[in-house]
Amino acid sequence: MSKLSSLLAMTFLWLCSPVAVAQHTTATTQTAAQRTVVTGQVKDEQGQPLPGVCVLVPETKQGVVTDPDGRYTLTADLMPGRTIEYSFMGFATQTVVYGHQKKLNIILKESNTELDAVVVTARTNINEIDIRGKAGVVESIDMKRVEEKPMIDFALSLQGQVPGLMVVNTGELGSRPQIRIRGNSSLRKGNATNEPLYVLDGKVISADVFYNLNPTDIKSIKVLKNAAACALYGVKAANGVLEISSQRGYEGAPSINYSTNVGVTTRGRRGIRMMNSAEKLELERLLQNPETPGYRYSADYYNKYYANDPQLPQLIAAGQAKLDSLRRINTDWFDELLRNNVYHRHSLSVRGGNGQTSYYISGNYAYQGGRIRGNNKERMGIRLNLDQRLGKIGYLMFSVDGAYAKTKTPNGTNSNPTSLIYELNPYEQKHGTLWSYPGQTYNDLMHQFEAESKDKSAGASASLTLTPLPGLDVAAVVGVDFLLGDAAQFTPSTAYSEQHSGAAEEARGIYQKSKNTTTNLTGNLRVTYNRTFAEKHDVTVGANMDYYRTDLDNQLMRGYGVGTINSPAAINQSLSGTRQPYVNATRDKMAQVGYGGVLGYTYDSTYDLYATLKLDASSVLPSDKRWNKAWAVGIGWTPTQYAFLQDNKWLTNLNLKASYGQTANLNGVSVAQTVASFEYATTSYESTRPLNFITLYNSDLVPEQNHSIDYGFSIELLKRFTIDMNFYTRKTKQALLDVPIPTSTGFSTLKRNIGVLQNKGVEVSVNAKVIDGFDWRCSIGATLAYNENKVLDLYYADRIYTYEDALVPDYEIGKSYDMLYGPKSLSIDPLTGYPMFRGGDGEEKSATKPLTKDDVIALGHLTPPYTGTVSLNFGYKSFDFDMDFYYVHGGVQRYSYTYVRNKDTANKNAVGGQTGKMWFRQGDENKTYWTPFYTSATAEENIALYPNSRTVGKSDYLKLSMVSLRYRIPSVWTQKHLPCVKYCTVGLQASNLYTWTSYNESDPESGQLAGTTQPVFTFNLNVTF
Amino acid sequence: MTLKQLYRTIALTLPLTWLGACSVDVPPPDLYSDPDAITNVEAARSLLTSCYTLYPHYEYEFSTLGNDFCLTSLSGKDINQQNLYNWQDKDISSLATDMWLAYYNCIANCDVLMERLDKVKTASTSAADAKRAITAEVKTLKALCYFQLLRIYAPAYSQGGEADGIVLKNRVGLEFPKRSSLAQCVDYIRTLLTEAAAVDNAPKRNGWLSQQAARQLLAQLSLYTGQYDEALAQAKEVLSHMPAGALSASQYPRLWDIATWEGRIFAFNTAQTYYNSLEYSATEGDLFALNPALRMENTDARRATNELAMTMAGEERTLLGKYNLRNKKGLSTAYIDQMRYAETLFVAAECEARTGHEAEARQRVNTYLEDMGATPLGDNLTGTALVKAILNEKCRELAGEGHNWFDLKRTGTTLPRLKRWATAIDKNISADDYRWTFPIPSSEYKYNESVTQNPGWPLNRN
Repeated sequence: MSKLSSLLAMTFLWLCSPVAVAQHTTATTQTAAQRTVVTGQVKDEQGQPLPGVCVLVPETKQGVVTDPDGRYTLTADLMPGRTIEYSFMGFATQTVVYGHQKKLNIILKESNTELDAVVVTARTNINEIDIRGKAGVVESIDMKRVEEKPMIDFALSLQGQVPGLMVVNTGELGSRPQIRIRGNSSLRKGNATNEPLYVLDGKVISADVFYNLNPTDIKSIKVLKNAAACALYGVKAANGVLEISSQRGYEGAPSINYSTNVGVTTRGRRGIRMMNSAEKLELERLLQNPETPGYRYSADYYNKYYANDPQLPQLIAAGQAKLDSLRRINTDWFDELLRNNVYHRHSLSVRGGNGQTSYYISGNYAYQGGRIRGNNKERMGIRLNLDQRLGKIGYLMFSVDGAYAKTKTPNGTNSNPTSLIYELNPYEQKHGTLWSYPGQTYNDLMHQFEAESKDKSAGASASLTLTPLPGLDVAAVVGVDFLLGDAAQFTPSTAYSEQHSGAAEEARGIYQKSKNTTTNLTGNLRVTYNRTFAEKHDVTVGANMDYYRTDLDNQLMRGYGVGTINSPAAINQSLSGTRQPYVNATRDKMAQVGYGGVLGYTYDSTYDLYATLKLDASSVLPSDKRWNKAWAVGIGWTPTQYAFLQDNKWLTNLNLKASYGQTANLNGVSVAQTVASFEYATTSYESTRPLNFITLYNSDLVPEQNHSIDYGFSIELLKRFTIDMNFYTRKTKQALLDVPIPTSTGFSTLKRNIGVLQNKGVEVSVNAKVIDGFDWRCSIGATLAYNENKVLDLYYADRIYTYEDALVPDYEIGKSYDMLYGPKSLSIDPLTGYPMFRGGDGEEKSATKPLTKDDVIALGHLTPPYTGTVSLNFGYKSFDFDMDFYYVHGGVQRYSYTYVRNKDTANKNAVGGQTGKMWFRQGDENKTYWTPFYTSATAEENIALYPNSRTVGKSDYLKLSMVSLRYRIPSVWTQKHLPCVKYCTVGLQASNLYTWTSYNESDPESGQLAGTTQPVFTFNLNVTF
Repeated sequence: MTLKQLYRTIALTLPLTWLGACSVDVPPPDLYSDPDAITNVEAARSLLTSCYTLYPHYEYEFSTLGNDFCLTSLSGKDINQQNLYNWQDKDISSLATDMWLAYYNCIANCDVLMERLDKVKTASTSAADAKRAITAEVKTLKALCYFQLLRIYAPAYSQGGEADGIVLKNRVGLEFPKRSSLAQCVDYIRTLLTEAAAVDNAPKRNGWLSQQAARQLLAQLSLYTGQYDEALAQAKEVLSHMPAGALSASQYPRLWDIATWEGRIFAFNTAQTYYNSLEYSATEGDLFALNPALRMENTDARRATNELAMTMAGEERTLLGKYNLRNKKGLSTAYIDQMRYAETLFVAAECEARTGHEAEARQRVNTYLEDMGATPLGDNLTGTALVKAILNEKCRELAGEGHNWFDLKRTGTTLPRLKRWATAIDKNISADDYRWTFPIPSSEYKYNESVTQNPGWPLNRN
């Protein structure tokens, strides 16, 4: 009875929020059971909705399962006194006695808090040791918001979900995103060295497997940011970890869910507007390139070259007529080349189970068409998760999954149709020859190249959780993740580049295929013992052991003479010389083993202490220096647990945390870089196979050492407003870089430990539940992340130039290492037509003079230091409205400027307004674009090599990244018309709808003309049977 | 067994199995890594083979820079090569950068092998012999690289042995040494060669550096330093081991053949196309033609292989034969001649002429020329005129093989740059021109502060 009263009290509290709607309790005198409808929502203690909770009336076996928002509508034969059971794996089952309530909102407690009985907590991710939360910075991604974003690239949909997790789109649809946690920890650029570790259900997965996950299969993603959270993973986790847990089954009758998004993708941001025909022809006349019709048919041209021709007036008139006809054509190549396309996604899942066994089975398919013809992506996947209870002491969880993703693109090194938007002239059409590409037609430019990359992946994992004694937890997981990356490139013999390659007829057409296999093996073992002494001392000790192994097996073949057949079977194997068939294969294996311990202590739920140590060894390093150490200590303090604050109505929660830790980083280091290694060549010399020395090794090389300090707090006011703030400083000592060395060594670079760099920042997130009723709900959230980096020390020099012509060192003590440098451009010199720069002495310096280091200033950060989101949720009864904004601030991108034409490139279209903004003759003042006539080699070189303040733009932008409006169809209606349907929601969902930016080109995010994430507008249907 | 026992067993055995199964001794499957990579003679020979393949081939570039060629109507098709012909600073700089790295890369690989030779076990006498041969060959190859570097990046030896030579490496890896003096460099190279020449090594195939090759290099080194008596003695030593027929007219074409031949001292084996950069197109012709001063007489037996007649710009022209001739015929090249007995003969003759044995010098050269069907040197030739005539015959013999530039630099000869088809002299490169000594590349001096730059070239350390 006390349980019931406490439950009722909780329910009461819940409903008594300021805008709570009065309870509609209908008194009824009937005592016999009758078909009754009860609705409500189930949440956990943190107030997060719990989907998949089984709501059951044991007497009648009638039941339902909560929907993704934790809501349920139970239709059962109820009468007062009958009980309703709420059960969910890992949570204590709650029983409520029915008493005519129409609404029952439930809060489930995690079961391990029940100390009187041993309850096994199954963990999909065995690293999810709860004590980590005492000091580690672990943040969860709101999967609901991710699912609401209709876009095929799962990784990109995580953008802005958690402050400090930066996701950047790098180009067209299907290109690999850039994912970073708290910035680049290494001076070495690129994904191999800076990307976080991905762990799915306890097993390590390849980045490409992660990119193609299906969001509806994922229950939660945790972002581990600091050393205290990551130390458990040892050397692999230097860049942070994303822990992904997949959906599991639950007790209850099978429930089938189908959800779909169907819609369109649009062309996206135009960015720069190009010239129309009249404007372009006039520009051509001014640029005087006879290869352009604007000059070739102009009176200027005839007057110059046919001055003495008796037919001159007729020639001019004919030219004028030609120009008039061209002026009448106005092709908008942005509209012609780019197109709206379709997006659709379907997922079907079945889940259910009994007290012993539960299952989750799902399948999904998604397709997104790109902006440009020939660019699209599709993916499909299946998953089976099976959980088996092992008596009273354990759980066995088993998962298998498979996925297939295919990306197609027409953009290659020799052919880039997207760039044609900025090249084809408005007076040109899809038929006829082109002035912009002399001798070619539009068709010659299309169908030049095809690239297709397929990622086929499969994975399996088994995890065992045993609790042989109260408080003792033994968990083990073994997993395998297999990825086959299959990429094919095809250039048909009919392509212009092949027709003009000089190759013989039978040698034309190129086919290339690569198959890269990555196998990740994971084996982890965790033993944890938790006990509370004297009711106040909560102690956890644990030991852990890991084994990770990665096998790479890559093959590449390239052949010629395939003609128009997109298949390796057509390769002409009789060719010799540069077009002879080529085969290459590489294999690599890496293994890591680690042993560690953890210690957690909490006094009276008020003071937390946490320590972890991990020793691990990597096969990449020679055996004598193989072992690395990762450790972290942390403290936590929760003042709101003090008696005098416990019932404070204003300050409902306050927690402070601080931690310090070290991890090592070996990413991107290969065996050949640490020890002399040799491989056999594919050729021979005097009938002997040469054994090649691979590269200069550095026997002094040690792993990078990350030292991170974190401190932060989290406040909750009035149980409505939460503020989380984290400060961090991460120093990377022994930072590795391929640095130039004297070439008398026989090599030009060597991987060396060169210095110390630092990432420093703050992450804030604020959430407010403005209205928190059952019918009316409104919450607003905002996040801000700031990260700055700089080089603190360089061991061998004050500055490092990575290439010989550099004016400014790439790395310099005290300077940021993602800065773009160049001179400040003052104006276009009316005399020379080239920019005037501000020289190092403060005086004006013409671009026609060679630049020196003193003339160069920092133009801005390439990586924007500020990123964040603003999100809004509004709900009324069955309506749910979500909106997310994402913003970045403080960065710059270099403009491509290829669309500004000079005399030599006048045959390609130019940016609108160029004529007015360009310097043409001496005396032209206040111009933006420099001279189109090549008069100074030094100036041209200065402009081409170095960006200047005129050729970079602020990459700040604000993006409306997601809008979702959903309507839950009332169960009364579905029961009447579609009795088989348990829940049904319909909605309108859209992603990347609009970007506000001052950046002039199309995409401030990737900085590429071909970039920009497409807006997607969809209709959404979600049905549960 | 009850279920409970089963779980207990699992809980106990699982961690133990785990501990046993996990190993990080995972050698990369494609690679051989230290410490066990190079421990037998087979692996050592394979690594040495790799060193041979890394030796850079700039014979065409040095022929362009030297007196071997004149411009043709197609020279403009390769602007960089034409600029190189005209000794443009930028193009020499860029060539200097590439060559510096390439020769030092070959040296570094030789050092990698030399540092591991002590670990190479030999169980039999034949293995011990093989190891001795490997040791001698790697020393000769390294000496060859250093000798090339010295002749390219240091001033001619006649300007004094104290001048800056090149960077001598002590070991594989990062070092920041100064340039050693010319004399020190010569001593170092001589030590390597003397040790190599002491080993009785007569491999069957031309692609391996034999004892004869080490002797030949010693003769060249002595000639380089102006020690003509030593050079003569060493050249005579080489010639004393010369097989019969090596300098006969009938055997001459075998120098360009794909088969190995004892008439060569040393040639790099290759499976790749060679000297094809000279050709613009098989039908239109070459970027450069043979310098008319180096043409052979119609009666000369060497002419058939050394020259190529082809119609270019409406007239019949004399182009370089040799490898170019094979390329034009669609034949492959297997050996790049590096050292041959004709060169030894001219070295000996030059030394004789310079040390007052003029009659012997004339006779030595004339025997060869007469055998080949060429006009012999006149008996009236003496003194510098004789030396000049011998050197001219040497240039004619070795045209296009990348040797002439080195002799021109050594002897301080003014080099004419010829106009198209050598109708006139465009300009002369004087003997004291700074460009004879190539610049130390910025890829060296920017990262090695102790290195000096050669006179006339920029030094911009930032």
